[in-house]
Amino acid sequence: MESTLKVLNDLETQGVLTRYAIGGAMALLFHTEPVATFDLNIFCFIPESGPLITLAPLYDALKAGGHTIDAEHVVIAGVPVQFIPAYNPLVIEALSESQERTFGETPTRVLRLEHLLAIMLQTGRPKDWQRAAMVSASAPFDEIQLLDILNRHGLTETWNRIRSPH
Amino acid sequence: MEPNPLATLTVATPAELAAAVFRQKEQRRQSLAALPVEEKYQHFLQLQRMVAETMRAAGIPCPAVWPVRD
Repeated sequence: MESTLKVLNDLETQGVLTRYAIGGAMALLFHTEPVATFDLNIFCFIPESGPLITLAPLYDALKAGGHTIDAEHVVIAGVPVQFIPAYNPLVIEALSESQERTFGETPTRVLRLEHLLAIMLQTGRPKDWQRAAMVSASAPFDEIQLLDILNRHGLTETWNRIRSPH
Repeated sequence: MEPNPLATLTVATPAELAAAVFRQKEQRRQSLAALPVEEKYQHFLQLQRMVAETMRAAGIPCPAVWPVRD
């Protein structure tokens, strides 16, 4: 995965991405125990000049670098990467406040655990709620920060429902 | 291999035995979570391969696993 992260860092240096951070199940690896996944979710800001954005320059740069496009993924050094442009205020905040980390000798960024939990709640798929309940029961998170995030993004009720389902 | 604390519980109620199992699982989970991310990644790769094997055995289409070496 380190080679994959180096490519992402290069994309940022080239200005193809403005900022990226690891999200999804792979971000959990930095905060708690491993969970299975088959793709690497990368939340990103794309340079824009108006209300519409395009992933074409990103995909062109990756294709020029010899990476393969496969459905919604780009396979970078054997890892299928899913680029997700920051699509709402919660994700924008999560990406803006993502943490600097290293993997091996390569710097990268990872979403904070509190934002990961909030995004799982907001996404709202059964597997995300299940994972949020599991992670919140076992991983160390800052409850005050989490409650603040949930409150500002209208997710407090959802949180209460998954914490006390009955 | 760490000693199995259950082996010393020769006489116990079902609740005590269950509690010992859960305690041991939680300890193992916490030790795993506390490892450096690079070590956890090696566990992740093993986990991914186990999931892929199970999916294939069940005839479920499975995405490719990630390379062990960069």
